[in-house]
Amino acid sequence: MSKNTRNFYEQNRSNFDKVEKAPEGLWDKISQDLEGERKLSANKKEEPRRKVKSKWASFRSWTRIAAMFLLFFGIGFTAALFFVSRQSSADQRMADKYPEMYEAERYYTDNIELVKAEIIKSKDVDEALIKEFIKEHELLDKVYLELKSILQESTNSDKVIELMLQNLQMRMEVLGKQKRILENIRSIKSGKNDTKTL
Amino acid sequence: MIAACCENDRQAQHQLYSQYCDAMYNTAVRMLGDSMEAQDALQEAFVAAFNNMKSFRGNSTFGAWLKKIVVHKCADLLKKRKMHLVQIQDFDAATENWEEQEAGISPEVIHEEIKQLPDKCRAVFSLYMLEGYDHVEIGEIMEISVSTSKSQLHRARHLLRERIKNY
Repeated sequence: MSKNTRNFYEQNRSNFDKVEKAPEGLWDKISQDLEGERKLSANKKEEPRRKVKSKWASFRSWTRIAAMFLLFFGIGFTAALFFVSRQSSADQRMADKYPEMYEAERYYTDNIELVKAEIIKSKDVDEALIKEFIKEHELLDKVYLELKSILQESTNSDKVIELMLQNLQMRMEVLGKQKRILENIRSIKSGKNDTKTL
Repeated sequence: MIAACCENDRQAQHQLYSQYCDAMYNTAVRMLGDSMEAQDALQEAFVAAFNNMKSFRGNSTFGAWLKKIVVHKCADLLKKRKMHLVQIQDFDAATENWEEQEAGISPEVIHEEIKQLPDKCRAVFSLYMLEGYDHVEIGEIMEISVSTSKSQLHRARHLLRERIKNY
């Protein structure tokens, strides 16, 4: 291939480069691409700011947790309030309808609470045993509350009241027995100590 | 203006684009033979160039640097096309008399005829004749051997001669 042939193109290169015009609108596409990439790199630079945002987000999530806690606390408090008011209204109804039973309940529960407190104080004697005693009382409490709610709707109120009184008496008896057991244990323990000292 | 382009000055970039777009487009369309693909190559090349202005060290002119990017983009597109080599069959170097034939024909006609050549021989022809690359450089750009580059160039010349002989 002769060098002259190549020369022909080299000499006419500027003319060959002018044959066609670059299409209209190509710059817009290029400009759009450049703008897109500029935004992309700008976003990359903004990442540290995002970290600040994420801190803010974590703060927000904490406030959310706190808000949820408050909400649950609020619901619990309202439910407890409702329950207590219902209980007190039940108490009020019982006081109105069965004043004797109401009086008996107050008498027994005051005494029960006193002896119960005494027993709980005796943890030093036998802690495991005290726990067992309390469990028994919880069971009797549960039965008593059930009887109380039955009384509200029952037509045979005398029978229910009788059972309720039996429950209260039983609780007093149980407490008396428990108290005596603890006293015995205590005396046995102190007796042992005495023999030890001798 | 180059410094302004480094700073992503859109106006300066547009000015450079206006100055070089036609020459670059003609290079791309001669290599690819297709105006849509040439547009894609040009778009990619200009975006790459403006995003990498800092790597332009001024050892050559901006136009020469930009043309290298365009040529490589076109070569990449051709490689993706899985171009087929033109079979060298009836090549007869002895009968060539290019100079006289081409001298009387306008660049517009030759340009259109180059576009009609098969992929690889068209690209080799364009790079050798119009962009001033030698066969070693063409071999590297197109990922072909030097002898293939040579044979494809001869093939292109032969086909082109056939096409323009009636003008």
